[in-house]
Amino acid sequence: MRLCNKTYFEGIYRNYSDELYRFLVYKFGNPSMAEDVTQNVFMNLWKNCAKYTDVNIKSLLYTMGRNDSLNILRKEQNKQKFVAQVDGSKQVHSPEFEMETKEFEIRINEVLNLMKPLERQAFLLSRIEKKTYKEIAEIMEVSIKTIEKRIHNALVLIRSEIVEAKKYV
Amino acid sequence: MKKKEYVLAKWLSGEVSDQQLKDQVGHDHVESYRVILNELESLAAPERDQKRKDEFFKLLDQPKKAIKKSKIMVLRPLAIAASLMLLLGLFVGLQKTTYTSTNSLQMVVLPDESRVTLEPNSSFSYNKVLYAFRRTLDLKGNAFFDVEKGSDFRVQSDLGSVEVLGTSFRVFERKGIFNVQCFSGTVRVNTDETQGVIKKGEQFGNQVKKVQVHQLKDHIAAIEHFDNVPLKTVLAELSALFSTDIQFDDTNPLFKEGFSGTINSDDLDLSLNIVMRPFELNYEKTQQSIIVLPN
Repeated sequence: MRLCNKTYFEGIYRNYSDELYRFLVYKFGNPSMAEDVTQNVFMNLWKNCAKYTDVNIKSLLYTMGRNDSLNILRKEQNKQKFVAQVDGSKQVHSPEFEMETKEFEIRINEVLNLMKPLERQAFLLSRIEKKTYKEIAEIMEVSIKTIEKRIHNALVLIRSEIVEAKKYV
Repeated sequence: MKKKEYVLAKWLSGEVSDQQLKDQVGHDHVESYRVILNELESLAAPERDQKRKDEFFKLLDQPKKAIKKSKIMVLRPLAIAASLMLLLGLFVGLQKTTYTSTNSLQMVVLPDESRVTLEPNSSFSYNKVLYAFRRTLDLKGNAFFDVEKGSDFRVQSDLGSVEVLGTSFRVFERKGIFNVQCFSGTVRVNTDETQGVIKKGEQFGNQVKKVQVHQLKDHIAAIEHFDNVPLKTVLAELSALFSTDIQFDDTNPLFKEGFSGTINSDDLDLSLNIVMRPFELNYEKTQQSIIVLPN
């Protein structure tokens, strides 16, 4: 019932909505769609606040976000485009890999768009959010083995698309 | 190693060493993966549009009732589909086909071969779909019915209704008069005030209580028979038959007196003369109407 308190709920939104938003961006690749689903999830939570008395808000949000996005993904599967942002200052250049920041940004975005949404989501939750496989498995509600498979596949795809294609190394 | 296919994930999480990975995929591959991982370090978390994020607080301020509306919005396609189905159902179920005669007779054959002969300026409507289950017509004006045998056949008007099995009859419904003439078989007539059964050659209505009908046979419309029918009603009937406006002083008690006789509906002047002569009335013809002059 505490959830029905507006101030408390606003706090929940401030603290948790960004994480859900990014979780959805990784899946959709579309910021605006992710924002829509995020707000929809929180609105549903607010409407049904009385129903959820003793729950783990965070996992509830992920569950709702996943369910909500299923329909959208089905509809928008072919329309989305993933746009990853590359922070140039973080770029670590190595002599073997002389790829310009801009070029890498373009190529990594191409590859991320080729990835299956769930593989991309697992991979970026690991690489960007620095979540452990166990954490990812929990929020995606699958086994750790499945997460390992998705991340493995993602990495193989990146290598084959970037390195092999460019004849690097 | 059995689970070779996920070795990269295990290597990422530190469960598999560089050396173990090299054994699996070769030195070159390990190097390229290391480079890729380095590059991936530069990937930034997607930035969220702060303005859009804060829009949510406005939504929260709406009363919950208004919020519920959005749920309806989600269900809207379903609701629209359901309403359309309902409307379609109503349309099919309630849609009535209407036939209207102008200034001539019009014969309509119903789905069961029953025939309706509409007299001038009359109309009837019925539901084509439901007719197979319920033979019911709504009538305005006068019509002759030749009904095929079957379930109850019912003619409804504002003033009364007629139920039959298989017969032919004529319904007269105009200006407060409701009269039924039976040509064959048996007919049950119901009005607000009274009800009764009439047989071949009889008529029944709210003005004439069960009187024999003279020379009705199967000749209709061309000849109108009146048995002690108020003059105002006869004039109203003439007005409908000839599609002419007939004006008269409604308050004059003379027009409530009964008229008995037969008029030929093919000839307006002759008909008017037949009706007016007994009352020593004259009339004047103008372009649009006929004015009955006070005597």
